[in-house]
Amino acid sequence: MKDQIKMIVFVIIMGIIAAAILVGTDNFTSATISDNKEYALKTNILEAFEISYKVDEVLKVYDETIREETKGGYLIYYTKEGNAGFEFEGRGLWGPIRGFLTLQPDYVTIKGIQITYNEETPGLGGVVAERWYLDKYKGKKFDPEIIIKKDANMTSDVEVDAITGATATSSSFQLMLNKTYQEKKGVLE
Amino acid sequence: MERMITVFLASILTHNIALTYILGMCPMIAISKNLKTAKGMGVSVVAVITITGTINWPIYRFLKNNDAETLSLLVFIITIAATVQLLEMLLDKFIPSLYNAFGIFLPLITVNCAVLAVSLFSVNRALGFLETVFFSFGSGLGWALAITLIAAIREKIALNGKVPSGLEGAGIVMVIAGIISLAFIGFGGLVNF
Amino acid sequence: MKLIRVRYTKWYQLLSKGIFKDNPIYAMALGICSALAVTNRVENAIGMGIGVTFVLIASSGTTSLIRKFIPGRVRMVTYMVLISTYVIAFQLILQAFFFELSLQLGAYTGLIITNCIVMGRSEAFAVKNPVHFSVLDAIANGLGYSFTLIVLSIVREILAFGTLLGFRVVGEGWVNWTVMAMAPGAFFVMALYMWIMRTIAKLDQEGA
Repeated sequence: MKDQIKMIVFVIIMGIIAAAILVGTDNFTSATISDNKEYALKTNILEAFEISYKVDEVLKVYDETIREETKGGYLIYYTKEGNAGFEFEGRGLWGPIRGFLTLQPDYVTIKGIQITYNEETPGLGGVVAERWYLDKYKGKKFDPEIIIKKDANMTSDVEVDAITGATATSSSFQLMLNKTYQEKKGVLE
Repeated sequence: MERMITVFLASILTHNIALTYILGMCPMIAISKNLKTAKGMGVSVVAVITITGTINWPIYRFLKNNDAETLSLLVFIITIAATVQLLEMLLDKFIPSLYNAFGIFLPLITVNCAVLAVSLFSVNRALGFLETVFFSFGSGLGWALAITLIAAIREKIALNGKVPSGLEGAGIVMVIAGIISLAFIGFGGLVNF
Repeated sequence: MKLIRVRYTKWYQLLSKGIFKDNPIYAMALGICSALAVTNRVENAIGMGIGVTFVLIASSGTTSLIRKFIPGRVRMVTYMVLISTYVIAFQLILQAFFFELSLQLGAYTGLIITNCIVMGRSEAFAVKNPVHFSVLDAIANGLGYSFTLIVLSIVREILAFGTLLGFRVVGEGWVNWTVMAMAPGAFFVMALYMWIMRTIAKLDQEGA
């Protein structure tokens, strides 16, 4: 009986100490972490809109150039020139792919895409996050949708090259772009 | 239902927790010497992963609703430890022969990275409850499949040849695992979820 | 004089054991999961090495501190609670001060909890030895582990991407060995590494 009590007391004390360490660290870091997340998000948004900024002026530039609006449950970002942008998310091959899509004022032509998170294989599916690949999407139109395929027609407004060796990531990407566009375009006007 | 089958197959073939994500390797090395023990371990791991993956889903939802996500790792590992402890007791009571055969390896399932990883992945990918059940079961099967394959090949090698002394033990398991995982890449793109 | 020499020997022994003779990865085959998974880039390997070393020191240190009070039956649970706490703390610190790295390492930082090395050192050493030796042992194993990870990741990153820590180090005509970024590459490089290191270690022992 004494042993049992000793054991229980020990576990309880350990639990309290562990919880104290965790809560302490959490308090110490939570402000910085949410700052980091905000900073990362805003940097990505500015990149997607191709607005130039200096590294230490991200928040300032963001506040001056971006206007946020919530319509129909979706958060849409607008710039002074009338470009619109929103977040998209889908399932890649290894895990979620999250990004930011910006459109020109006609709300059909792509201005830019930025990937904010992915777990794809670097060099294969991971190419989806690389600048040179995402640049292929500039000027393409959702007319009515983007088509990602092998040996795409460069002159076409809707076709984009798939990623070599990453069929799954490419098809997932096509799905999530089109799906999110369909969902959110309604609130853009 | 089709979605569930997709998730299930994907977690065994294209997203195999041992051969694609390289998780759960420690017991692979220690237990793949003997096909019989490997099979037994495989079954236990399937049981533990399925149970813990399933239980941790409502637990995570509960934590999330109460803003306590930071604790989720801690709670998951406690669930796993408790499940393994329970499994130990049940085996000891109902199938003592198996319990003895496992010896120390049963409690070591608690620290099998694959078990914790399945719970973490279902959170990361925001899977629904039923999806999580199929994903857990499939992942467990995938791991069991990997260890059985490795054990079978290892036994064959032991019968037919000699492994260079530097490669004995862990080394040869790595080579075998490498070749098998290379083969499994061939499944890529078959199913996706 | 004699006492000082003895002490040096024990410290030196502990350190060299952890890093070379009883290196957790190639000698004890522990902590392999993470060594395979995060070594596709040197940056990730360094981050993981630091994480594991930090958790090792913290948990071995704490375990050793309270070793006289831990009831026998709850040993494993104790280690786990301690380790989980330190891992979560490490994750939070990483997210706060090295955000990019935390994104790269992703779920794998959480897996430090199940890293057999951390549990293994607590059970095999820290619970039976005084704090200063336990911490030294933790540092030694952490170094041994990190050393392995960095070597593996250097090989893999150069072959798979032609870069080292992001800087291009190969010529124009290099074709990437993408398989090195994936599981099979990890397994093969690990097998070679183990083969080489174990042969060297054995040769060492025979010579001594």
